[in-house]
Amino acid sequence: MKRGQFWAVAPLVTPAMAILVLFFGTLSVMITYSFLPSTGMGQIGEGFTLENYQKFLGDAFYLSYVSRSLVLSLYCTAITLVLGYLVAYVMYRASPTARLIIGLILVVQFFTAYVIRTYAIMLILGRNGAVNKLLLNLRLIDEPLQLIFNELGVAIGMVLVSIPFMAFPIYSSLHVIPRNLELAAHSLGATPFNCFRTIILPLSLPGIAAGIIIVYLFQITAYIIPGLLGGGYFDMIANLIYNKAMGAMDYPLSAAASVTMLVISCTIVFAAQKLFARLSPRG
Amino acid sequence: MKTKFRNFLGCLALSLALIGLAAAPSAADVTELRLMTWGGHWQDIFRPVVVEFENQTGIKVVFVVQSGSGDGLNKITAQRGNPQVDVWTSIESTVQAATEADLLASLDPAKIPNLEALPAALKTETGVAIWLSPRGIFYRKDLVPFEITKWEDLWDSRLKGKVGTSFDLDRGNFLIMAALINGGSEKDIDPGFAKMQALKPNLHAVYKTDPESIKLLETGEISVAGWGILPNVYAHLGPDSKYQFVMPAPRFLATIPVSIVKGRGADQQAAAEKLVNFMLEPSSQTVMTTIAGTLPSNPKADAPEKLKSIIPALPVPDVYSIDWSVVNSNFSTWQDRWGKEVQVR
Repeated sequence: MKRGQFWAVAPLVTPAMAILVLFFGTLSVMITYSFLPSTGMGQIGEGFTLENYQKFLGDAFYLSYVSRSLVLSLYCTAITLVLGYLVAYVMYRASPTARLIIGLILVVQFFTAYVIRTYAIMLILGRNGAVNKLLLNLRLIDEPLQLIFNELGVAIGMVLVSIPFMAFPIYSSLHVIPRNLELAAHSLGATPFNCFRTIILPLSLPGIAAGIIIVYLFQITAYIIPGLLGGGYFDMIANLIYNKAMGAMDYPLSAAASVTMLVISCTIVFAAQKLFARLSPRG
Repeated sequence: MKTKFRNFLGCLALSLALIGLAAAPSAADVTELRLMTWGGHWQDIFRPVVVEFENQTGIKVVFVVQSGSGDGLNKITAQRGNPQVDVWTSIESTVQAATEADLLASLDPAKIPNLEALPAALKTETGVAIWLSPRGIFYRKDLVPFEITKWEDLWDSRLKGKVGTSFDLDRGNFLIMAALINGGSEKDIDPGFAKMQALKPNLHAVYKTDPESIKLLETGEISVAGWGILPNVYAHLGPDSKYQFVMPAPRFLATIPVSIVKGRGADQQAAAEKLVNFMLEPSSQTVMTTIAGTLPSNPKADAPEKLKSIIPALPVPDVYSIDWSVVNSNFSTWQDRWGKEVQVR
């Protein structure tokens, strides 16, 4: 960068630095709290202690929130990957007009608040919702199915809300694959399935990797969806952290839980990036 | 080069100024008070009173929203060094916790003369009740096959899969009620958890907020809100309504205290004391409780006529008084037990 350009760009660094300072500042406060003792409701003592981590990691009840969050996010991400890839592939193959319409359908849901969308899912899946009414009218069931206030409701909500986050990165990867690669493969006798398996899928791996990481992190930290669609019966780790911080006001314990999840999430992201780097075709 | 460096300094100064404006707390302004309360229709309850207060004193009242009393307590705790709220409405348990944390100013009867009219039970050193909020059972008459008259009716097998309730609302109050009707109390909570085990076949959802309970009832997801807060449902009640509110014994009247947050300066505190005194005026009490569907804390104010047809005779008999210090000490443990024993299928 030329010297003159540097001086022109440098002022933009100041607000960015402020944001970074705020981010790392709050993170360091959270980490510090996790090593402080709790001395009462909303009160924090002094001195270093590991009791918060011992309490969180030593209690099977608390760890069950971690395990159920990890497991649900894992299989919901897998389902979202399949559905998201389908949507992205349809967009890839569609005419420009159809691609625009599909893109708009995916984007328009971001215009609505997350909570409103979750309530809409409750209305569809609820006891008196559209799904149960249809099944009852078709006499396929005698009484409403329990589609919410359990793990199933949370899983359905997670997948529905996450599809755009998976579809867009995958489409971005598909979009840049040269069309003449497929033409060349077909001309050499490759079937459409083989063409997909050996050319399209490997070249879309960067998009898949990005989509998986985004969606998995989004789902493992979900609060509103398990809160509303779980009905109290399938709280995830974010709900536990909220309950401990805002309800019981045990800030050190909730900080310890948050730091633990931060370490787990960073490990997962790092491992996933390494894996996809190995799987992606070189050159 | 000089020009470009000057431009850089100018841009840097502008950036820092913008950050400073965004970050700097607003200057203390004795012509404005910040009242923290719940969102939505709760502000409608206060609005006529604060508008009149503004007209009389010239002091503008700005609402700060809390999602719940716990959220409010967390806010004033986090703002301890630089509080952004003057007056805070919450519930007894959180006022107690805030008092222990030295976040609230003492209420001076010399500066809040209306304090004298209130019974001793409705005021503490740091909080005074602005109204009493009935709790009870709120249900849909069209979805429940019988008339609910007592807490034990929630355990009726005809309500299988139809009941919703809450642990978080009023900090475990429903659990305490379950203990009381099973021979226990907040000091002996095991009977409450035993009673909740028996309720599980009827329990369909556990809600965290009042609006959630209303939504679940409106959609028919539940037929009975086992822990109903009357002000939330007051507007739905009436002769032709499909909703019914019942307040069985042991009865619970939530004292809704108003407090003054410490640390905003002498002038702000003086203005806050004026507002609190104004809220305790009989005329203000009548306005607020008529909208809210609650009982005035000032005996000189009239209770709303509609309310008299909903709750038992006035004064309300068999009201149970909870020891909130016991609740606050045990809340985290109860929260975990609720998650392990009640909120599981």
